[in-house]
Amino acid sequence: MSPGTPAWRPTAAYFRSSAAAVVLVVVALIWRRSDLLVIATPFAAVTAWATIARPRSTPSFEHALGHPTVREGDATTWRGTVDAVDGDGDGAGVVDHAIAVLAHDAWIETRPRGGCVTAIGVDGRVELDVAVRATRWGVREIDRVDVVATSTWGGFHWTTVTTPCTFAALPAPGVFDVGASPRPSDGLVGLHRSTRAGDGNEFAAVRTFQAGDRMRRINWSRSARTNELQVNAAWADLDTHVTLLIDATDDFGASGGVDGAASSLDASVRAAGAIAEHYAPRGERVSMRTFGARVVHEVPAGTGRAQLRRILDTMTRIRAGHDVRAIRPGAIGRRAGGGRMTVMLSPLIAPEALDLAVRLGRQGVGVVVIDTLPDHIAEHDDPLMALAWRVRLLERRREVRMVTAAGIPVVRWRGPGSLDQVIRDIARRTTGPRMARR
Amino acid sequence: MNVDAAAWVQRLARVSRQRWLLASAAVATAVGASVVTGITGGGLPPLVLLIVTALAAVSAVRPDTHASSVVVGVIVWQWLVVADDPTGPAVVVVTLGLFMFHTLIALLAPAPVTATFGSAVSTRWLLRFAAVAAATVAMWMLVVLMDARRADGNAALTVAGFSVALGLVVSLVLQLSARRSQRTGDPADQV
Repeated sequence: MSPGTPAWRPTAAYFRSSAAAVVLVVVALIWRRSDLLVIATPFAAVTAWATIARPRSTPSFEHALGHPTVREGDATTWRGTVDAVDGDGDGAGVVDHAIAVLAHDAWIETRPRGGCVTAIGVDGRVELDVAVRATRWGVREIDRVDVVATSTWGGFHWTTVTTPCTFAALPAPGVFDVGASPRPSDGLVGLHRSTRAGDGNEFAAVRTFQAGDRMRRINWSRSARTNELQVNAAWADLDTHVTLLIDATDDFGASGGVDGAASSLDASVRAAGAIAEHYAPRGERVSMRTFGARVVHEVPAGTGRAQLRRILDTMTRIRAGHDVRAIRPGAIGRRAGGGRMTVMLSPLIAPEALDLAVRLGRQGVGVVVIDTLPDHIAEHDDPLMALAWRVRLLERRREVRMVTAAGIPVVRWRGPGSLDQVIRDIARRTTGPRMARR
Repeated sequence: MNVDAAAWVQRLARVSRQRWLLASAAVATAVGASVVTGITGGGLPPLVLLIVTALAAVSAVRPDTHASSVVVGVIVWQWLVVADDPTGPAVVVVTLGLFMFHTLIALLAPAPVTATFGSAVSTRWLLRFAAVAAATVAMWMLVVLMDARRADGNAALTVAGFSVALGLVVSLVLQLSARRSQRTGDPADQV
């Protein structure tokens, strides 16, 4: 289809019918061939019909997506409306039907298949609906939609091309659950245990009033008995701060989208989404940061469903791209240091990722490394590539052992319960003395 | 070469089943009209049949071109040359065949190869086709009736016929000029 035309244009079909009608009628009259009049009849009728029902006003076209954000695997609807109602409001018969064709995208499935839909015109309006399904997380773009409207008998046609429209496909809601708490304490405070006294809700002790204590904390009956101001001390309300570090150095393994095999970045993003989805709505503070890519995406710590949405939205913009300058353990460690648990999601192929994990551990940050390298990575058609991958995986196994020996737990992502044991280990470790380099 | 062939195979694989059906029907109606014309004239030149088949196939593949106009022209010319009984039922068969060919090509022209027409579009076009086909049959019956009565030439009818033809010519010229002005992008012509 040609680029958009500003007005209705006659088609080859209109030319064919009118030329056939003219030539046949003239020849019939000149040569006195009545049979040619019979042959000319349908062409003359079609020409007259198409001319009478000829559109006179340029139609308008509007299009929009039903939802700007969906989960990967979910669908939304692209809807376009061709409106060819004349100035007097009469659009009957102006548009016979319209066709819309969505540009092909590797991670978008359409229904009807092929992204092409036809719809009939009713009173000069045609509504075109195409179901659009994102098969992989990320920012998905419908690059262009070619729209053609035709008049009666296909005599005239009008075309337009839409501007690109994008929508965000959030990572699929992964299944994740954890029973262990990274925050051990002597008293129960909300969902987690607190280790320090402070301005909380859980009663700790009755003590003498100190400057700065709130008036509502004063225990009046105890104060009356002792003739000294006494206050009810409480355990501080503390929450867990989970920092998600996503390795965006590269994307290993072929991605089959939400219905197929997962690449390393797929696994990292989906696992990070699942962890954030577990902690953030429960009131925990969750932050996110990517490393290894040119563009660093960072979400400061926050809590609640709005924070979850921020994290998932930011994840859709992650692009793999190796840049060692983007890995600065000092900066990452300072951000992660405020939290109690840092979860690094990495395929552990780039040495910088392992190095970062060890350095964070040495800074006293509780780090858990989730290995997201796909199992099918060594399956390669090229035997040399397969051999190279096997060699690299052997090296990687040694490197992972070294990291584990340095006290950094490395676990495979297995969904629910993946982190239970390591989180318990981290919680136990945080209660004891430790040496940290700052 | 292999890349071109692979691209063609991929393109063919994307063609919708309905389009295959409609394109095949278009070729069949054109070839059928040519065959009926040949049978009416007592002979079917293979060369004409080959030309019609090839042109009809090209029209089905590229319906937005003027190849289909050539198909109509060739079959009408064949009819003019070989038809022995101009007012027999064969003229209705040939006419409806040509009209069906024109309709199918007009329907396919703006649509991409992946398109599938819904039942509403198909029904609307079928009803229109039936209406025009009925008018064509009525016209044929009128011609047969006048032929049977051996009606003399009528000056008024001839003038009326020429007037209609003239009107169609003027309409065609206007359309062609409008098309040219849109191609040149003359804003004055678009007002």
